[in-house]
Amino acid sequence: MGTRHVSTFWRHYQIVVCAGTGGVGKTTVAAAIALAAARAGKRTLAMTIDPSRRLAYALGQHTIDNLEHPVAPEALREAGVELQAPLHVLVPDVRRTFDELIERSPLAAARKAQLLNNRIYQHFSSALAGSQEYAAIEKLYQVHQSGHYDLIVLDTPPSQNAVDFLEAPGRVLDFLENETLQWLVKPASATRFPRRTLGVGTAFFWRTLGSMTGGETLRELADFILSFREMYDGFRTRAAQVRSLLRSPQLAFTLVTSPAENQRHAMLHFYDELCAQGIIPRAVMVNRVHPMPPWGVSTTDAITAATRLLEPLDPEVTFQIIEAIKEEWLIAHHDSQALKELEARVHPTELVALPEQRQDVHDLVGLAPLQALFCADRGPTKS
Amino acid sequence: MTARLWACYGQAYVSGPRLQIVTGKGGVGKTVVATTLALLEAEAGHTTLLAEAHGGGRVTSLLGLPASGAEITRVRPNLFVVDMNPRAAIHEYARLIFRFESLVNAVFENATVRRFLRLIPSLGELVMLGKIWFHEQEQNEHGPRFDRIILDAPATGHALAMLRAPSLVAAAVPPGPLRDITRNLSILLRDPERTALHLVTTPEEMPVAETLELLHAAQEELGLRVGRLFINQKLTPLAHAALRHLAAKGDVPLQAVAESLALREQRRMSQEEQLRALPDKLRAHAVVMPRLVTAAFGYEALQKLADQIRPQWEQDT
Repeated sequence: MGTRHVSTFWRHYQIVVCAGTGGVGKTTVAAAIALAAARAGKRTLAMTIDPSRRLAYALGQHTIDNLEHPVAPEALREAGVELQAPLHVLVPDVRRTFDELIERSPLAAARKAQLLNNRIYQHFSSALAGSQEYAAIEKLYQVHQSGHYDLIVLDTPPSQNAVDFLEAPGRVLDFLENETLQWLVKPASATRFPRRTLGVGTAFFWRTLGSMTGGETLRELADFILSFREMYDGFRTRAAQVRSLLRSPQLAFTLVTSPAENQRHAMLHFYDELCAQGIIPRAVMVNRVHPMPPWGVSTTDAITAATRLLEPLDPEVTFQIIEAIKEEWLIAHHDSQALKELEARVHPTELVALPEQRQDVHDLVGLAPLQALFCADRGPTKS
Repeated sequence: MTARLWACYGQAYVSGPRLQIVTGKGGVGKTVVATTLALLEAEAGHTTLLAEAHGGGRVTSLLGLPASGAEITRVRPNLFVVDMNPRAAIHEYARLIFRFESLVNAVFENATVRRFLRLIPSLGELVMLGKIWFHEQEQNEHGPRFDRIILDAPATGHALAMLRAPSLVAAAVPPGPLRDITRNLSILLRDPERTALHLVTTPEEMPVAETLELLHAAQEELGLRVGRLFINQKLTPLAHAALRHLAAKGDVPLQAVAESLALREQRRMSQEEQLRALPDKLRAHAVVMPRLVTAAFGYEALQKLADQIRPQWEQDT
């Protein structure tokens, strides 16, 4: 199907999830898609859980409070983007998402307070394995259920592993279901615990872990887990709902990468993992592709002609210019080779090449030309 | 504290801190910088350990070598690499405490226990830092085992989480062995004679903004000594007179070439503009790494970079 330079794949979905390793412009791409959608008349929400909150900054949003904030249309108009529908930005706050979960749970008020005041909970609820991803998915589910938006664009935290994100709800359940934990939090019943699960005695296990972490630490952790377990049923129901949302046909995964070799490898790793889970990414975005220079002659000819013309100048100056000409061509050549390889590899997924922008993209003005690449009115062009 | 750190940074230090942590925004080239730095230090005769945290073997693949895994492996004269991961680090820590391999295996090779340990927040980060601390202290018959330990840390957000782990854990856990580790780590990280944090950026707005955030966190919150700033992928300036000459005197294709190069110059000037947001003192001592155009970044490219930055690196260190 060729490499596309314009893509409107998002039109067919209610949720677009942008995944990729750090530094490829995932946040920028997510923001550009959200802008294009709101421009096309879709009520849109852009969500980011990037630890550095770049999407929010790019959209002129500086508060992180777990709430949906409208992007001022005037600011966008100044940047040359006229919205047909409102655009909102939301940065999920891990701690608040967990606090809300506890507050909404059917636990007794005193129990809720006890849990919210637990020292381990206070320090670690946002550091728990997968808690960032969990909070994002939980929030995604909530805003999707609200029905306030036609499209939600979610920018995921950078990770080495795409499946981490998919498995976040499962991991929180895993944490609460863990047999060892159950046994640890009820040391009194330890004697009835089947030895084979652990292979060593309970007392021995306690001693060993205790001498690594301190016995008191383990007990506080156990207390925390015990309180959290009371919310287990709520978690389980929600995790099943979230799981089906992530696999629903209304949701599209898109992988963002750059033409650099290591980034492409990391993306393909994601791609294969998702496919193995039965989720076919809808689009692969290659960001910051250098287009072939429009010189109209071969690079060798350009170099020969330039060398002749620059002969009277300082040889050092000429050398730098010739090197720069070679570089400009070489970088575009590498990128086009990379695209060709990717295209064959990810077929039939749509491959979209986003050209390197003339200006550094970090604000609304920079986003304007990029969002145009996701607009239908440009019409699909193929290379 | 801050004044002392500022006084220290940029100042010539003869032997240099043993522990040098490298971090920056995702995609700016942290691993390339850390590896190049390790090559330079090893070539200068320092026994160097290049430790990767959550890197997934990027270092060895850059050097064109088979994956080293979690064992310290000698890859070149004076150069050792290790690809740390939380699981192996926890196991190693347990071995240090108990000294009986079979006993440790019985507990830590158990799948249920491993799952349990993975769930303890910050334990992985803490134990990896603990491993770094151990090697920083480690002695052999000639003195310290390593002259330099270069930590290829994760990207800003996760690196901060890692560097915050000691104080976070210290605040959350009661007195005990875990609390003791956090104390040793805090002492190591906050000692400007022993530890420095190098920042890596590209000359673009977002990486620069993240560098500023990192600088702030390092100095105001973590009390870390800031070492050098590495500016990666900097474009070299072109003579404008020559570009004008090409555009004025050249035929149509050469005019197009001149236009491409003029755009490149525009990007370079925007790079300079972005860098102005950084504090003068930091920029003055920055190590500038030119953009290298290669199909695949391997050992050859690293060696080329090492040669290019050697004079800048040695100038202040």
